[in-house]
Amino acid sequence: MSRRFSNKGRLIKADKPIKFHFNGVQFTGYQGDTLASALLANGKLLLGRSFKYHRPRGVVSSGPEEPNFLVNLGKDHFFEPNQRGTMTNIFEGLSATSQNHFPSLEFDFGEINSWLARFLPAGFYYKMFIHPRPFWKYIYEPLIRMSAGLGQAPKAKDGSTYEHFHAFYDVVVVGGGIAGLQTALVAGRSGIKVLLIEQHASWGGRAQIDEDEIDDAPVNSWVNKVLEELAAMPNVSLRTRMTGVGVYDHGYFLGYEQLNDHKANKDGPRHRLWKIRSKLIVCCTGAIERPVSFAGNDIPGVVLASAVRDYAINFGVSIGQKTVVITNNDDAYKTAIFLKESGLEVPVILDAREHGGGEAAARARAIGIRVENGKVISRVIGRKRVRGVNVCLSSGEGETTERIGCDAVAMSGGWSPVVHLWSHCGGKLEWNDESSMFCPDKSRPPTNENGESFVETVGAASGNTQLNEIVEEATELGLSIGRKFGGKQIRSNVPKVKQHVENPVEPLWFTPRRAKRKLRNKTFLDFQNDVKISDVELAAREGFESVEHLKRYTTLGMATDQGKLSNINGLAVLANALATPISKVGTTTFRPPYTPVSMGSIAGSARDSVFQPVRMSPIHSWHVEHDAVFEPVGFWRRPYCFANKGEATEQAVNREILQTRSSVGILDASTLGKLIVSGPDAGNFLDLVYTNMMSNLTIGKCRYGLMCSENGFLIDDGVVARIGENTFLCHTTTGGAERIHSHMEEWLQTEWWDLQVFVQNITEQYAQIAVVGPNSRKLLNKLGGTDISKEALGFMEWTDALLGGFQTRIFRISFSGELSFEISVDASVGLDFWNALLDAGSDYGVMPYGTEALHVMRAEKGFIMIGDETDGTIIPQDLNLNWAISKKKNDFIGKRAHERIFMRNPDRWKLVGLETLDGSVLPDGSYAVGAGRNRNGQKHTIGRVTSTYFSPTLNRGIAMGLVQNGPDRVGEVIKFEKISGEIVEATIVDPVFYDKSGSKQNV
Amino acid sequence: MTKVAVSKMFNHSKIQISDETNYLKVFQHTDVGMITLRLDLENQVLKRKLRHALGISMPSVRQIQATTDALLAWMSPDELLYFCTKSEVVNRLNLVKETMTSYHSLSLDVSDARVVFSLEGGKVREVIAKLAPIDTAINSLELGEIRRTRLSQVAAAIWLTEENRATIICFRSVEKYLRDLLLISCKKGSEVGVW
Amino acid sequence: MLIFECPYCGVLADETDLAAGGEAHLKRFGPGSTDDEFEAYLFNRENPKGVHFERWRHINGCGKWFNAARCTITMEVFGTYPAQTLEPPTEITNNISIKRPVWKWKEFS
Repeated sequence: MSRRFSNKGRLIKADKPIKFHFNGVQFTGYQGDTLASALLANGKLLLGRSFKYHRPRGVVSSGPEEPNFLVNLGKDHFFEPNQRGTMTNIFEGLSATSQNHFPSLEFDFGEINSWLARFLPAGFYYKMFIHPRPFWKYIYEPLIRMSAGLGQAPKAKDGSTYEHFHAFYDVVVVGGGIAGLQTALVAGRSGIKVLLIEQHASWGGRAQIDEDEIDDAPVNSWVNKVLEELAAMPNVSLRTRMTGVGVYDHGYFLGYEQLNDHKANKDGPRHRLWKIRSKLIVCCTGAIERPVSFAGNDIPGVVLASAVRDYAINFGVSIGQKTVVITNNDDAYKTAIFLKESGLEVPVILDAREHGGGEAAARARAIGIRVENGKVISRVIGRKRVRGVNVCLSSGEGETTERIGCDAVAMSGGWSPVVHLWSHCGGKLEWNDESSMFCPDKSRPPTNENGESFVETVGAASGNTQLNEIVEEATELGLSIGRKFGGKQIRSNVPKVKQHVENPVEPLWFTPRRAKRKLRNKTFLDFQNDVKISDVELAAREGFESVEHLKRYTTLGMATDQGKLSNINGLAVLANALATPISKVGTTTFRPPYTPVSMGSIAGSARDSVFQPVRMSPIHSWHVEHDAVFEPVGFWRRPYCFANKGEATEQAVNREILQTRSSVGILDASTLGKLIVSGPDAGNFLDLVYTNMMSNLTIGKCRYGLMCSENGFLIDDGVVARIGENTFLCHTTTGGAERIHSHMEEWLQTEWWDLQVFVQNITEQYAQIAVVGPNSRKLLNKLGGTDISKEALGFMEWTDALLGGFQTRIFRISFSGELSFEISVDASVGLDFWNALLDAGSDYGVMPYGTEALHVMRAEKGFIMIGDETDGTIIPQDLNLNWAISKKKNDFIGKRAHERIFMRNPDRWKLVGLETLDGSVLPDGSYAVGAGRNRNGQKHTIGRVTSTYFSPTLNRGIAMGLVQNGPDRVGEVIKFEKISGEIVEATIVDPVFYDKSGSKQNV
Repeated sequence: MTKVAVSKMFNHSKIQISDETNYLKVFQHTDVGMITLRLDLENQVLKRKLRHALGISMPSVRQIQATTDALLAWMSPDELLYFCTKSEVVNRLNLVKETMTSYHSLSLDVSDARVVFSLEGGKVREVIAKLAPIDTAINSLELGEIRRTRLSQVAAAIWLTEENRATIICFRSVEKYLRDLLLISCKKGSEVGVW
Repeated sequence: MLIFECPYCGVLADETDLAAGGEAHLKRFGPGSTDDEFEAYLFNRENPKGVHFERWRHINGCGKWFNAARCTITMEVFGTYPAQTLEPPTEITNNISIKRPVWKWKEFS
């Protein structure tokens, strides 16, 4: 039974009790407790269920590497699944539930998987769910969906806020243990910019637990002294509860700061993602202990030896009353010694090594602990918790020599340096046979933009576990960093640390070494995904010999802990199965993040009103006030239509079209791009960019132009106005201003840099309003100030004009086919001008209209729209726009492309109008089908719909589309197929449905 | 970069948009005129003429020059941005056009194309660092240096006129976005506390 | 997450302030060229495992296009230079030769 045996834990405040809930039951812990330590203190050992087999799980670690104790944490807007109980500090009111069981943690139906384990080995789903085929949709998939995932998906909106922070440092030191503190201290003394981060809430790392003294003082006081000195340095930043989660190219580093996860008060940002550039990143990230692989090593009560003593020393909590220790190294003896000295029972230390341990073993014996060399556990007795162990010879096959009763097992299979950050950006590892570790290969570090190494490791992260050596390494590195980055000259002493004499670790991949299949079937490597030794051997037998294949086939290392406890043990088994040295097998690729980061922290502040940089025209507030229905056009918001109360959008659109065509309507066209192209070579440049001639455009006139890419495809269209001898104003489609501006700059700067041209994007300087309809001129004359008669301002001309006291520029261009004036004014008076138009037009029933009315009206006139009639594969010739392609120009972007065979092919689909026989509206994107089938048995497609609308003007559906040889087939009826399979017939007609002669726009 | 220049230029038109929930004061400025000048900045003769006409020194790379009623900012190797009060724009624009008339150049009124915000308080560098991927530390971002970068998802230009005061300009269409973003970024309780 | 020095405004520009522009020093073929020449211009790229010359635009900054010499494997940047040139400057090609004695990219080396 686990319990709190002492209130003197290093990290707890026993005078500050905290109430919290787990699975609906209230418990009490102390401030400083993690959820794990508090529940262990209350005797709760069964804390979760494994993913596949739903086996009972308890904590196996005390840190971020925890694979078992995952909880649904919090409620409603602060609910989050898959939180590690070992990293969650309790606070008053905390509420958590265990995961992956039904109906309860104690009694879980899912455990049936465990009984069926024989049929559910690694990779079973590749074989099982394939046949019979029909089972997939109704049986397999629903079952898999039900059992997928561990925690529950949150249902409420995230109630926390998050943010980012960009920072630049000379060096970032990751890890606030002794190695990190000393490195940062020495580097900081030289005056360079240092950031030191620590993932836990407190400083000092493992030394606080495992060491007695530094510089003849208790470790804690040395740590405090260093922190004091660091805190006083203005060039040093210190952060706790901040994890280094990723190293990326060019010295980019992500730090993940958790600000209020440990607090009841959730005000302020919850997480801050630090986006850091550093010249050097020093990983003092320590090492993680490895489990030992024996049968039943997953049963609650089997815990990493260092975690057992962490719980004991930090929180005063014992996993059990009687703890058997099994180890292949000297480190685990510390656990046995501390437990014994605290009055708890340690029946035996099983040291797998024939020659056992060094100093530590002697000390253990001296205080009366039984130590057996060359012996190991063959299996653990118990199901929901440890009840005892069977002991056997380490070199044997597992015959029980003795059974020992106990309620906890502390296991240590060695230590693995935390090399993730070193590896993320290409740092290589080498296997050290002596220490049984993958260590950073310092000759192959990750390199930055200068080709120089930008990551270092110190301490256990380098594979060095002797503190006296580590402090020397850290001091030297700190000094060299200071020199390298231009800090001032300093001296620093190496702290004094006692040297320990240890016997070397001996690899222990199979316990016992010749364990039989029956034991290997119950020996777990990955506790969360339930991957056993037998699974790895199965994968090797089936030919999955690469460690990357092993991972994906067995799912070893793919759980939320990403193999922190399982990877090395697993690949050692693979190496053995392939009779290959571990160094050749290698590890899988380490990828950021080191530990999970919240989605919120990645989004930062981007949510709600700042989720996207929504762009609004100067007249936007009027649209909002008048209940416009908005549609997004890129980041812009444009009114789709203005629906009156109780009016459906279709009705509103029809109303707007009819009113505009019969009297007058106004449209906010401010979002259209406007580029000034100016300079002695402006005309020549535009001749190269457009398919038309632009250099011969007369001042005061406008011309509709097309732009193609070098590959010949239409990329934009718009009206160009000649403002002056050397100045043109080019309009682009909405949202195209930046794109076309970029396009022009690209050619001017990277190809034709001898041309003297300036391009300026002035879209935002103006509001632009289209005044459209037979009464449009009358409306503008009411404002008065300038002669805008047909003679003074003809079709496709422009003029600067005073209208109603406003300085304007008027373009007589028409996208609707009606008499139309597009008027631009300075953006700051855009709203005023809009209101003035509404006022002046009240006698004519002036009506604001939106983008849908705009689109329908242009379709009625057969005008193309970029993005509807074009899709990146359409050339002007497909749209009967040959007239817009100059034959006189020697060169323009796209000209060469049009000369290719397939672009001159007469069978290309070409633009036509389409009228259904029954007057209905053709579905968007529907395909016209021809006779017969092709070789694959598919129908022939001979055309498709590019734009389709209901036209209130003509009181029927109209559509534009591309049809094979279309213009030659006017009058022919072709069939369109709906998704349902139903056929709709339509006649091929001229795409200009309304006012074919164009007389209405030319008055 | 003189303190006086800033106060006179922008102070009269500023509206506070932050409140007691923010740890910086955030202002929006409404009477800022802007003229963009495109020209060959290698042309010393032209630059002398402009300096003479406008009465303001030509800025070097990423620099802002100031007088009591105008600013002139370096935007790119062939672009300067001139600031004055809105009422002065027409006159100064004509002056600039006259001065540059025989040179390949372009000058335009862009006063309405952009909006201007400013931040005041001890932690302006830190708040900018939340939004822009640049080094805003004291020895890295200098007073009177203009940095064009992004603030979260929009392009913007930023400069510090004094240690506790930053000015920000961005396109008018994203005014609300930037306004909301700035206010969110200096909410009390979110102080970073590195510098 | 790359960072480049913009040769025009002198800042270290974060990748998120830049727009990538593909291979640099493309030779444009227009009207009068053969189908093969035109196809190669449009679609053939060096795509090397090693030194690469490419275009970048400082889109949130000064708006100018520059070229960079970068190793596609290690991300080492050998230098950035203005885009208005038919070939990389000798300081950069020399720098590359020092670090990568045997390198070749198109006709430069």
